[in-house]
Order: sequence, then structure tokens, then C-alpha cells
Amino acid sequence: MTAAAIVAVAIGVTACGSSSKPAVTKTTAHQHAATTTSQSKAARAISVAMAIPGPIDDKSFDEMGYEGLQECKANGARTTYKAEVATPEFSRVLQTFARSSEVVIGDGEEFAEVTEKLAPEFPQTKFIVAADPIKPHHSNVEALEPNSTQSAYLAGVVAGEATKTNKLGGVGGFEFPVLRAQMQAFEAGAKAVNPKATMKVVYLGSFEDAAKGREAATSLAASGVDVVYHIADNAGVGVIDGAQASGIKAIGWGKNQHALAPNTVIASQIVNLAAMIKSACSAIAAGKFEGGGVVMAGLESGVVGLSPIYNEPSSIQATVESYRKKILAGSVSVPSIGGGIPASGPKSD
Amino acid sequence: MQEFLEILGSAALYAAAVRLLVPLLFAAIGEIFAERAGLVNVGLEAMMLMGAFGGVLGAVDTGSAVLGLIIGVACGVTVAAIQAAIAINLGGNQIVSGIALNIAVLGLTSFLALTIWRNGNVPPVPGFGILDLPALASIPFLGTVLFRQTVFVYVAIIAVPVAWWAMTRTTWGLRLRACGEDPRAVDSLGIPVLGLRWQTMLIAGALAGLGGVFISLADVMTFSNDISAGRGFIALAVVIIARWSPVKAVFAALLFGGLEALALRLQTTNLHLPTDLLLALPYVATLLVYAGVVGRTVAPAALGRSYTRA
Repeated sequence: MTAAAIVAVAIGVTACGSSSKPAVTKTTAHQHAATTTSQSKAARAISVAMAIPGPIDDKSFDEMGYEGLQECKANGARTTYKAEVATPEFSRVLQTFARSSEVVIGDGEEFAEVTEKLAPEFPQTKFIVAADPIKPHHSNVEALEPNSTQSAYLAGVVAGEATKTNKLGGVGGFEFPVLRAQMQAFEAGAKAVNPKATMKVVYLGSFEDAAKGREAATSLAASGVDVVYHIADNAGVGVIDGAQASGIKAIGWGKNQHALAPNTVIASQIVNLAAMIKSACSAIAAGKFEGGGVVMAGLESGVVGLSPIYNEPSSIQATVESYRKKILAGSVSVPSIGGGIPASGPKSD
Repeated sequence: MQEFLEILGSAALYAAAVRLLVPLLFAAIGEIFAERAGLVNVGLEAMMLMGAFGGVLGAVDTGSAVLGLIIGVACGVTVAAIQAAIAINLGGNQIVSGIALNIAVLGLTSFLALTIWRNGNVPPVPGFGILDLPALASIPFLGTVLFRQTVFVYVAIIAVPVAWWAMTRTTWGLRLRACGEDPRAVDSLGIPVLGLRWQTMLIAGALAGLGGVFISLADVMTFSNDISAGRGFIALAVVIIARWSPVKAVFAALLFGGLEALALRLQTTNLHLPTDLLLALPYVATLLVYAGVVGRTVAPAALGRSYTRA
């Protein structure tokens, strides 16, 4: 971790140094702009730094943040990142980044509190908190929130149709409001197509501990659950493994996780955070930054959705489609992504 | 409440507890050997993680779970050899080198996993399946808990008495313990202190590696970053609670593994206990037991001190 920090700081310093030579960086930006299609003409090279809480290959949340950053890089931004940032390091890492980069992204709502604290100290820096539904206090902080309850609802529709025992399970990393809201939306989706469906939710206290994820899936299976859904990043790999070992079905999260266990994963809830980060970077490069606000993107934008459905009757696909249309038309109300947040709010300091 | 009692009485809970305690127990037994000989081995987590990684790497490359196990254990031993060289021969601070190894191995395994299996696409891993022990597996309750498990559980059951015997009933064990109490006295008898300490450190590495291999080849059957998730540190606590006894280590590991399994199951009941409180249960209980039940612990006198001939 320390070694990674040194490298990140070194890169940060380099990025800082080169920003004093705008002529050079502008050329690179234009070269990149020529090769990418959706690049705004007014775009300039921005420097973007990202703090990622987990590993960049978790097949889920953290990997998407990293991919988003890579896409910003492909669009001409100078990027640096530090992965596997532990909670005590949040403040230090963001500060280091804020000194050297124009845009600082905290990949996950766990960065929100620290970001709000640092924002007034670095008024020139644009902070982004990815996957955070709460409106920031400061005008140089932007929250990005994929409307993931919409896709959780669709994943629930699949589960409600696929279950034979009418018992569904959910495994979450931590009991974050955003996770709780998605669990609620999943259950609502399942109940919409299968009123007899019930759901049990287990939280692991970790997004890393795959062995615990596996044990959670095993215990849910033992209690009669036959479809298990996870929002647990790296630990979710263990959830899928546990489902496979217990012979029950699993629903993935984030990216299409079918390849992890082709006979087990029947669908994945897609939350394309990478696309959101990419467009936020492009917007900033083009001079648009919604400081103090929450940028939401839902089914309409394609940022959230559902993967193809595997090993299940094709009729489920049609049902999912009909619910997708209903959500877009507003005729089905999906629990809001902020629905799990208590009125007092965890960040009302 | 009835739900709660049902969970407490279910064989599935104890079977899960056994699965969760096995990696802790292996690592703790190894650590007991090292600490009894006077070595503090904070790098246990590194050895476990390296073992888990090496196990998957070996199993995927050779297509054999057994070869994967051997490679995984060898990886744990390799990390232990680095720690041994620093702690025993170079007289470095054992705690600092252990922490350094933990950090280095976390980064190294993340990096290697990323480069070897592009973007974490670990291929299917040939792992160890459940091996029912004939006759024993059909014992009601106990059969499900102990004898419908992977081979690692059976090895753990054997490892405990073997470790106890080796440590308390053999000359080697006596010398080893003496190394932890008064290495100078051992040296004065012409017994090689450094050699004995090397042996115990390598044993610690092998057993911690075995615990890691259990996680990645018999439990989760894949590698993901930081898959050992701090179990090496918990094993260090297990050693202290068990007062450096392999037999008591079973109970200390069971306390932790059992409460971990219980915390996951209690969340599915209608008791609506706060999730965070349940998840903290193993840690809180460990602290309470340490403070109340264990009483005064006397660590080996020369623990953590490097030995040099005057």
C-alpha cells in the first residue's frame, strides 16, 4: 500500500509539473481527440485523480471506477489513481490528489464525508464523489449517482420469476443506504411479478471477504433460498461461488458476471459507473461542472440496466422488457435510491 | 426466539463454524511453534495470502489441486524464509519486518493476479471437493459438522494432537520451547538456536500457507484480492487467547469462527438485531474472553528478541 502511495504521489507530482506547460498537453489532447469520436471540440486536457477503495479487478464496483478513469484518459485527460485505499487513508490520499490534480474523484459514497471536509480547503479543485445520492454542501463537489434501484428492480423481476421456493436472498457488503435501497428495490421487483416471494438480506461487513460471502450464500441456500443476489464487489465472487456449490441461482452486480459461473449466474444487474465517470470528465473538459448537485443517470441513459438472461425461459426477458417500459413511463414506482437514507442524513454536519 | 434456538441447534451452523475456523487454526498452530521458539511472526497474514495465491496459480497451471496445494504451501514457506532471514540472522525488528511483509504481499498478489489473469479473470480452479468419511459421516449431527468436509478439516483434526505431542513430548519440542525462554542456555548446551528457530518459522509459513490454500482451493475456489481478509491477524489473537497451546487454540478459533457463522445467520431471523452489532460479535467476544476468562497470560520470555552470541 505504501509503495503504491509513493508511486501515486510521484505520478501526481509529474502531472502537476506538466500542467505548467499547457502547450505540450494541449497537443496530446488534440491527438487523442482526433482518435475518439464523441469528443467535444472545446475540450482541453484536464488532470484527473481517483481514489479507489478496493482492487481494480474486482469484476464489479471498483473495476468500473478504474475503467471510467481509463476512458477519461483515452479522451485526453492526464490521470492518476490509487487503488485499495483504506478508510484511514481517505483524507491523506484525497489531499495529495487535490494539490496536484484539477479533478479529484472518490470512487464510492464512503468518500463523501472526507470530500465535503476537504472541499473548502481546495476551492480550485473539482471534487466528484461517484455513486453518492446525497446533494453535496459545497459548490466544488459533484455527486454522481447511477439510478441503480431501477436496475435492481429489474433484477428482482428476474429473481421473482426464476424462484421455485419463493425465497430470495441478498448479500451486501456493508449496510450502506445505497445498498439498502437497492435491496428494497430488488424485493419490490420480485414481489411485483411474484407476490409470494420473500427476501432475506445478509450483510458481510466487508467488500473483500470472499470466504464470508460464500458462507452467507451457503447459509441462505440452507434456509430454502434458491436465488441469491449480491452487492458485495470482491466478496460477491464468494457469494456466486457459494451459490454454485449449493446448486442455487445467483444474480450478479455491476458488470455481467455470467462468466464467473455460467450455470449459476442467470443475470446481472448492470450499473455502468464507468460511463458516468467518463461523461463527467468530458463535461468538465468542455467547461461543464454541476458543483453542489447530484448528477443522476438511470435506465433512460443506459448507465443502468440488466445483462442478458441465461438458462431461464425466454418469457422472462419479455416480462423484464415490459417492466423496463413501465419504469421509464413512470407507471411503476421504484424505491428511490435515496429511499434508504434516514431523514436526519448521515452527512448533516 | 424460537428461530434463534433453531439456528443455535442446527448442524449447519457448526459445519460453517468449522469451515471458518480451519484457516485460523492452521495459522495459529504454526504461529504457536514460532512464538514458543521466541519469534513473533506478524507476517502470518502475508504467508496466508501468498499461500492462497500460490495455491490457485499452481492448481490452474498444473490442472491438479494437489500440486496447487504443494505450490501454495511452498509460497507460504518462501515468505516465512524471508521473515526468518530478517528476524533470525539479521537481527531485524520482527514486528516491523512482519508488517512490511504483509504490505508487500498484499501488493504483490494484487499485482500478479492482475497481470497473470488479465483483469482478474481467474480460470476455473480445480479444487478440493467434499470428502465424506465413511461411517463417521453418518453419525447424527457430529457427522455433518466434522465429517462431511474437505480433507483440510481432517488434517486439522490430526494436526492439533500432533502439534501438542511434538511440542510437549519430544526432545525437539523441549529444545524449541527453551529457545523461547532462554536461548543462551540452549546455546550453551551446544544446541543450534538459530537452526531451531528457522525450523519453527518455516513450519509457521507452511501451516499459514495451508490455511490460505484452504480458503482458495477448498472454500472459495478462486483467488480474489486480499482473500485472506485479515484472518492472519485474527490467528495472532487466537494464539494469545489460547495461551500458546495448540489444543486451546481449537476453542479460541471456534469462538471466533462460530460467532462469525452465527452473525451471518442471525441476520436472516426476524429478531431485527442491528447488523453492525452482529458483525462485531466475534471481535467483541474475543476481547471479552481475553479480558475475563483467559486471565494473565505469560508469553515466552525471549519472545520477539533476536539471539546473537555474545
